[in-house]
Amino acid sequence: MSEKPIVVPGEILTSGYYRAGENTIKLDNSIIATKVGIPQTKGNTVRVIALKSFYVPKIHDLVIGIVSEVYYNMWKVNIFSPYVAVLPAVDVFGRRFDPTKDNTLKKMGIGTVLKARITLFDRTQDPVITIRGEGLGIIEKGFITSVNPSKIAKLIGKKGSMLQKIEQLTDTKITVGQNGIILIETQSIRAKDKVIKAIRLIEREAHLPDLADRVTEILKEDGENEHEKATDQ
Amino acid sequence: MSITREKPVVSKILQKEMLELLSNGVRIDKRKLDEYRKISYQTGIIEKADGSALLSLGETMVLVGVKVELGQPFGDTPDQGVLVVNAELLPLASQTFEPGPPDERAIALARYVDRSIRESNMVDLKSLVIVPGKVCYVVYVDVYVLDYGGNLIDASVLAAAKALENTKIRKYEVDENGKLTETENVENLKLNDFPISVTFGIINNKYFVDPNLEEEQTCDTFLTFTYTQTGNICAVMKNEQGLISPAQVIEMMELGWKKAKEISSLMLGGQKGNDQENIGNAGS
Amino acid sequence: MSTKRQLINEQGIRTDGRGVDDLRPIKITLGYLTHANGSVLYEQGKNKILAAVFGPSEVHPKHTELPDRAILRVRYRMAPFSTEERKSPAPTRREIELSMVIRNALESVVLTELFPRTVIDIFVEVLQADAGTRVAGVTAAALALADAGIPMRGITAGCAVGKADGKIVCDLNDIEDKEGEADMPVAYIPTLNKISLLQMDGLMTQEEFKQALSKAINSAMKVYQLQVNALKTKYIKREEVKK
Repeated sequence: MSEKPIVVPGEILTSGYYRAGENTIKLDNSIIATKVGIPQTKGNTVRVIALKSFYVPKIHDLVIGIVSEVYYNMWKVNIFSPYVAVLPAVDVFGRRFDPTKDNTLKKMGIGTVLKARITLFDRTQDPVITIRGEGLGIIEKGFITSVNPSKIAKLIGKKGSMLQKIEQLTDTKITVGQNGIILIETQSIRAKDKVIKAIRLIEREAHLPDLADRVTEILKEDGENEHEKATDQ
Repeated sequence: MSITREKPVVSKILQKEMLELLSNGVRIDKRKLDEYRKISYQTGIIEKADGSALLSLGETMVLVGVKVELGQPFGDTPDQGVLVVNAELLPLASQTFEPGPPDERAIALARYVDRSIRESNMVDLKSLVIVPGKVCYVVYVDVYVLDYGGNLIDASVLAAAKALENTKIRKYEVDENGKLTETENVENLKLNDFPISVTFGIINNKYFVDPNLEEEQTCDTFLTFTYTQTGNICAVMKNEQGLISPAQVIEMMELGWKKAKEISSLMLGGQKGNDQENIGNAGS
Repeated sequence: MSTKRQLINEQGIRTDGRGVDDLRPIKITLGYLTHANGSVLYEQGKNKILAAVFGPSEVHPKHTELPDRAILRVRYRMAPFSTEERKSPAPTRREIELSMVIRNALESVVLTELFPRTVIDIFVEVLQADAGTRVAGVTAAALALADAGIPMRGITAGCAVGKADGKIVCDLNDIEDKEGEADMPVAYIPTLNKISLLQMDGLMTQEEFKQALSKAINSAMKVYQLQVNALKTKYIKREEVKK
C-alpha cells in the first residue's frame, strides 16, 4: 500500500496556471498548502484535504447544535464552529410571535439539542439557523458524539456507502451534521458504542487505504463478542 | 496575555501616496530614505533629578529622569551596582495611550532601552559598588514619553544615554565599621560607552530610517539596531508582525552603522557640560 | 562575567559536548493534550515547552474583536518550578514582553483574515527552562497551530544563536546564555525566506552579526525539518493499521 504524500502549511504544491482551491493560497506564482493534509488536483484546481479542521458554517448545511443562551427574542446555539448561531424566536413561534406572551425560555432552555439548517451567514454576521423543515427540530433522544469535520466525507463514504454499512451492521440510524456533531438513534448502548468505535477508527485512519474493510472488521468482531456475551447471560 | 491590537486608521489616500513616494525613494515628509528628523536635546532640566534629558526627534519628545539611590547589590553580582529602567507612555502623548500600569508596548520599550545601556556597558556597574555585597548605588532610569510622533525607541535610547551622561552621584565615605557618611563631593557617573540606536521602518519590503507617526502606522514591521561607539552591535529588536528577508537585515545593519556615526557625532559633539541645548540634523 | 569559565575547549567542544553548530536534541510530541484543538510538547535539550491552541472561537469581551480578521491572544508563561530558583508566579515584565514578541512572530503566518470577529488563543507554558525558550515557544506554537488545523502561510521555526568564548555558537544552553557574550533569538519561515522574530543582546561585531544571522537561519532550517517530519508522520501510524 502506497503512502499518500502529506503536505504541511507553506509547502509549494504547484505553480503556473492553477486555481487555489480549499486549504491553499496563491503566493506569487505558486499555490501553497495552508493546512496539513493530502493534496488533490481536479481540473485546474488544486486543493488540500485537511487531516484536521474545524467547522465553518455554510448556507444550507445541516448542523446539530446545543442551545447555549436564551434571550426574549432568540436563542444562541453552539454549533461547534468559530461562530455561535442565532435562532430567531420567529422561526419557532411563527410570524405572530409576541414577546409579551410567548416565552422563549419555556419553549427551549439551555442545553436543548437541535437539528437545524444554516439559512444566513457571511463574514459580517453570525450564522442564522432554522429548525423549520423536514427532519429538523428538537432532538429528544438518541446519543450525541462528534467527529473532526475534515473526516465527514470519509465517514459518509461514496454515495453514503460507509454510513449505510455502519447503520446496517449496528442497526442504528445515524445523522451526521456538517459541523461534525453526530446523532446516533438506537435503543442499545452497545450498538451506540460500536458506532462510536467505528467513527474513532475512521477519524484516526481516514487517509489510509482499505478503510471500509477495517471498519467492517471491527464492527463484526464486536458483533461476535456481543453475541457471546448475550448468550452468557 | 498579548492580544492583537487594532491597526491605527490611516487614510487610504495617504497610504497610497506614501507607497508611491517610497518606490521613488522619497517620503511623505520629503525626507530621503536614510534621513533622520531633527534631533535636539537639553540636559539637566529637572533639578531634583540626579540626571535628566529632554530629547526631541521630529515630533516625538521624550523626557528621561535618572534618580540614584542607595541599595543592595543583587546576590549573584555582589561587585556590581544596579540599573533599573522603566518606561511610561503617558496618556497625554497620544490618544492611543491609556492610563494605567505600563502595557506590553511600554514594557518592551523599557526592556530595549535597558538592553542598549546594559549590553553596551555604558554605565560602569562595578564603579557603583560602595561596600561589595552590601551597599551600592541603584540607578533608576525613568523614560517618560511626552509626545508620540513615531520612533519612540531611538528617542528613548538616546535620551536615556544623554540623561545618564548628565547624572551626578554623591560620594560616600566608609569608615572601618562599615558606616557610611555622606560627603559634599559629587561626581559624574562613570561611563564606558555611548549607545546609539537606529530604527528602520519597513513597508512592502522598502526600508527607511526613523519612521514618523504616519509611516509608523503604515509600517509592516520595524527593526532596531543599537551600536556601541566602536561599531559593535549590542542590541537588536524586530517589532510588530511583518516579515523581513535575511538579506535586508544585513543591508540595514550596514546602513544603520553609517547613521549611528552621524547621530553619535551630534550626541557627543559640541560643548561638554550641562544645560546645553544642542540642535542638529543627522540627515545626509 | 566575573568568574569566567571556559565555554568552548581547544577542540571546539562545548560544555555539554556539542560542537559549535550542533543543536541540542529535539523531541516533538504532537497532540500531547486531549482537549486543546492543537497541542505539542516541544523538548529541546532541557527545555520542556507545552504549547496549545484553542479556536478560532467567539471573542469575549466582545469589544476586542476585529471586523476584518481574527485576533491572536498569546500567553507565554514560565512555571514557578521551571528554573533553578523558584520563579514567582506573578507575571513578570519579561513574560509580558515575550508574549508580545511571540504573538508578533506568529501573526504574519496565520491567515487571520479568513476568520473575522474570532479569537485564536495560543498558550505557551514553559515547564522547564534552559535558554532559548522564546524561540522554542514560537516553534512549538507554530506546530500547535498546524495541529489545530488553523490555516497558515508557512511554518515558523526558531532557534537562538549566540556568542561564547568569542565564537558564534548555535542553540545556546543555559550556561552559555548566562555567561556568554551575546544571545540572538531568531524565528524564520523557510518557505518564505523571511524572518519573523529577531532580537539580540550582548556584544557582537558587525561581521559576527552577519555570521550569527546566517548560522541562525541554518539552525532554523534544521528545526524546520524536524517540524515537518513530525507533522507528516503524526498521521501515519502504520503499527496501528496492521493490528
